[in-house]
Amino acid sequence: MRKLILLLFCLTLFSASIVCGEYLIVVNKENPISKLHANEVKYIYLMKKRAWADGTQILPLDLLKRSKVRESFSQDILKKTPSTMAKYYFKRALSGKGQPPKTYQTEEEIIDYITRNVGAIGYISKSNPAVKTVDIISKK
Amino acid sequence: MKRNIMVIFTVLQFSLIAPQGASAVELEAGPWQFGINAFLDAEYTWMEKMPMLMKGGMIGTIPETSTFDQTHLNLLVGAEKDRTRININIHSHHAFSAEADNGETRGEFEIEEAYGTYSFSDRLSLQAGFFLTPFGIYNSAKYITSLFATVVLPQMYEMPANYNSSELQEHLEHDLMPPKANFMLTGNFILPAIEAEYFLYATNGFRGTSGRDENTDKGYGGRLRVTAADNYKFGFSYYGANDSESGLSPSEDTGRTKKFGFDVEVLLFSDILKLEYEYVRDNFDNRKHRYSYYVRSTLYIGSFSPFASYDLAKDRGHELYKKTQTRLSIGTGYNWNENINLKAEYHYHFFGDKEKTPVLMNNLENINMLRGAIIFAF
Repeated sequence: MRKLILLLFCLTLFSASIVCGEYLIVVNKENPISKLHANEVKYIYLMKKRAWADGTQILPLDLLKRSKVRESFSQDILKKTPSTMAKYYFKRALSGKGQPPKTYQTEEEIIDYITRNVGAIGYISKSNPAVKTVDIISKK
Repeated sequence: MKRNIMVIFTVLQFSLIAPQGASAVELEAGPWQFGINAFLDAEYTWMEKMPMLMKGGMIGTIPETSTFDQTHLNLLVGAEKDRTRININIHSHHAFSAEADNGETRGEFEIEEAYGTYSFSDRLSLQAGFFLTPFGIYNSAKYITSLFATVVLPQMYEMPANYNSSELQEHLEHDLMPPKANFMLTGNFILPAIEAEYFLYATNGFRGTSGRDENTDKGYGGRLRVTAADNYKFGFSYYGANDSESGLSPSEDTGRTKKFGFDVEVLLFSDILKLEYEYVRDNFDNRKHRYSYYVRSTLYIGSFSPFASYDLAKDRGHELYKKTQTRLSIGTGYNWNENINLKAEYHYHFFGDKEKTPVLMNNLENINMLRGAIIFAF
């Protein structure tokens, strides 16, 4: 019984830990955020959460649809394929609800944009000293 | 024939000059970011017969018709800076048609929507100007629904073409949707596993047959949309206005118009199957009511999106719709590429309640219709 309780406790800890696989969520170094719920990241990329706690506009960034990193991020956090998200953004844009996240070809461009914009958030495949990595928490 | 070729040519031209991919034309000017999106569709319609409601309540038909026409052109210009967004939607029906038809104005560009939005926070934004009302699933985007839904909208949004003569349409307008709104508060609340989006708006209401703005015809409404577990969406819509939609003068006004709507959208099996249901009802004139509902299932399989739907509308104050019109539809969409969509649909209409109605001319009850569309958008 004791072992079962210990096992359940460990599983609970595991489920609250970092969920990222093949990508890292990154923000500007001056952004005070150090942790985000997966749900918050999802709503940022659904363009439903548009400001950080201090009121700074959130600027989400994407890689190209064919990028494996984007595929991984999209399936894991958004639970949708990049193609499905492209349709979602397109419909929103045509309905006057705003343009989709800026899209870049390379991770270097993503990092460069984030270093110049405090509100920006993106995802890359490996850590980079120019930007801050954010821990993602997911409760199952 | 010449007009059909011109329409196809126009759509193809657009596809060559527009940016590749589904993205807008984007510009930056200082802190402002501009985006330009466009939507253009050409539609083919074949109807076995066309019912016409004429003066004196007579109902007749004209024979088989077949038309191919550029139907909608929308240019959406958006500007965004920090918490402020400005949108202008320029719309034209039949913008590239060479000739007029039955007195209908062609080639006119109108500013269909123009509004500004200021976001105080994710939970509260203020929108002002004039814009399509958020009522039901499709009303706020009904000019572009052939891109992501069907060519033929459910009857609650759009009555079938030519079911009224133009002289009577103003008095017997079947559209159940409210007029455009002028002020709106909107926002969303995000909770674990649930998102609630709300819209509270005010409109100038309908105008009387004179077209004058009657002080009493102000309307207000709201919509609440709840999304649970990402894939289950429930919507509740309400609109009330101080006038009657029947075209009566203020002195004959019989009270407040009220509209209610309920809708459900469900995505299943990793977004492969979508189920929709919507019901809308209103009680204009205080002594009559009308309602409409539809149910639709759509599959998303690769580039194809086949669907089937059942759609019913009843209007006790309408010579045709008091009989209840039912529509059965099947069709499919095909994504040619990121910018071009093709649609093909078959619709079968029939009127019920035969025993209580006058004899209809030329077997009006059952009507077959084919609709197709080529849609280009960026």
